[in-house]
Amino acid sequence: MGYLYTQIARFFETSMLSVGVHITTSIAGIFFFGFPVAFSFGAYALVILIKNGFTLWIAFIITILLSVLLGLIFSLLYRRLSNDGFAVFTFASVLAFDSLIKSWDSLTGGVLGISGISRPSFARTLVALVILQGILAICVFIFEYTLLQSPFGRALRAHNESKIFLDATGIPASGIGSFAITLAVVLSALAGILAIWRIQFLDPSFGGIAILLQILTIGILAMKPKVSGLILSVLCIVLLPEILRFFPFPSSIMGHLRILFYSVLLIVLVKQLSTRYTSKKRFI
Amino acid sequence: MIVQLLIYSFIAGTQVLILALGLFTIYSVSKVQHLALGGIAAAVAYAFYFASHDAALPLWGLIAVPLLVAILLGIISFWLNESFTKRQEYLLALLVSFSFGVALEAIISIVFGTDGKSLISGVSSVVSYGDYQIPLSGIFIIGFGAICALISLFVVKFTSFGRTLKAIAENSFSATSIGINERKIRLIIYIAVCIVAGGIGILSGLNTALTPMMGFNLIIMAFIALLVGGVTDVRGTIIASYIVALVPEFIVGIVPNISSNWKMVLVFLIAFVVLIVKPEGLIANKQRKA
Repeated sequence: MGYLYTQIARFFETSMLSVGVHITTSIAGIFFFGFPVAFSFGAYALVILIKNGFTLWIAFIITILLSVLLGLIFSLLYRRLSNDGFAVFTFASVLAFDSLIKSWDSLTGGVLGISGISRPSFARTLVALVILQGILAICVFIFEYTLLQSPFGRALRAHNESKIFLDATGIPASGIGSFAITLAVVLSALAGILAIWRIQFLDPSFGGIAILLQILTIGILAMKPKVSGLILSVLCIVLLPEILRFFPFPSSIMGHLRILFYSVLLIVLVKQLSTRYTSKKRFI
Repeated sequence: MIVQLLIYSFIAGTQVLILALGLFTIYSVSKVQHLALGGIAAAVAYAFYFASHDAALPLWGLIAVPLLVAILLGIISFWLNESFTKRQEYLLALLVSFSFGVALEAIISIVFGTDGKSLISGVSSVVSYGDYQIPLSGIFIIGFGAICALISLFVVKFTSFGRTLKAIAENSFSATSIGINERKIRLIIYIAVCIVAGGIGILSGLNTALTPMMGFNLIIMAFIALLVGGVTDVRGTIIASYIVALVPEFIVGIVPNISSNWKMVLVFLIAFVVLIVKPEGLIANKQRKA
């Protein structure tokens, strides 16, 4: 049963991360690669604050506020850089954050990481944690559904179509993009907190390229602005690589096979599905 | 000590510069940020390792195997990105390129394992000049950079291919309208840049151990140099390549209790500050908008 609960927990954690990628990449057309940074940042911030004597709730609030700040920093970059420059620079932030965690070992534990992370009293067992994650994931899905139905959701779609047109209608495109990025960062940090309560051990491998690939694949698969499509995509992408467990591959290559699977899948999806969902450009 | 740091910085900067110029060339002709170039550099370096250690091939094999791998990966990169270049969906091309790079690194990890592989046995040689030391691999990198620069200069300045290249970089639609086959030019550029990146992968393997993730670390430095320098002017890329190598090298070398792991963080912070102040890069061509 432990395996089943773990997979359900992974589904809920990935769902929260994926709402961020759905809002930014799939709907608003912002290629933001900093999700693993936000995911790790949330987990590290909470654990470090608790280790330094803060109570759970105070640490949680500070973590969320810090993740808002991180989101605003990414937003500042988004306002200043070109689209592809922003994508590359946020990808560079993943490697820079990894180096920071490894280098600042007095704070982060370096490559050895931080062990003995305890779950909160209201989610002491894995079952209780899964229930908590489920409730939060449902809340996030309802929030996204409401958001997509609102004028803000329409502005997000317009952002993908034409920023100039959006500006012409009196809605600042950079403001819409900044809000989407900040929201995605906060949701990723929240997913990181929930994931660390499940794993109870934190090291530099916690957030990384594997997570980025996974959620970008979900983002491309769920290109349409529909929450149901997103849920199905998360279900497929989280569970599909589990098939690899039934093959007699050595455990040392399982992680790499999973990454290879996601990367090939992402290439195939982008090549095959992009023409169906992206807006057609008219050349004169 | 400062002169020694300058020597190391110059070698590191030249390495970044060669890759950044490759990225600059691909960007000029296709407007694609080719993130997979790091993975390609790593794959070619591992192909060299396979030829020299596992297969123990003679000299022709040491040249042919990595060269073939570089050409093959160049063709695959072109095939993956070309449809997006045509449709002007550059961000999707970036996404595919990123996935291709990750796939290459996963394949390397599966085939060769994640432990470091050394291209040379024992300690790498150094050339001493007075109190100063220059690693032999560094001399190779500077030599390789000089050869690449001379060939590029000759091709761009004195050949019809170079003029064609400039025409595509300036305006690809106009270039096509006068009968230039930009698809063929792009294919050649992808292959040439992959060969050069592979050369850098092999040369960096002479200095440090090969690891599957080495490609992303190499290419991110080059991308940062490209962004900081400005993607429209090659002079900016040259200056920025040496800045992103020099400043962290000096900080780590002079400030006590800072390990070399901080270099990437410092590079990122420098780039962040520069890009916030000058988002178009240090040197950017002025473009007139209608």
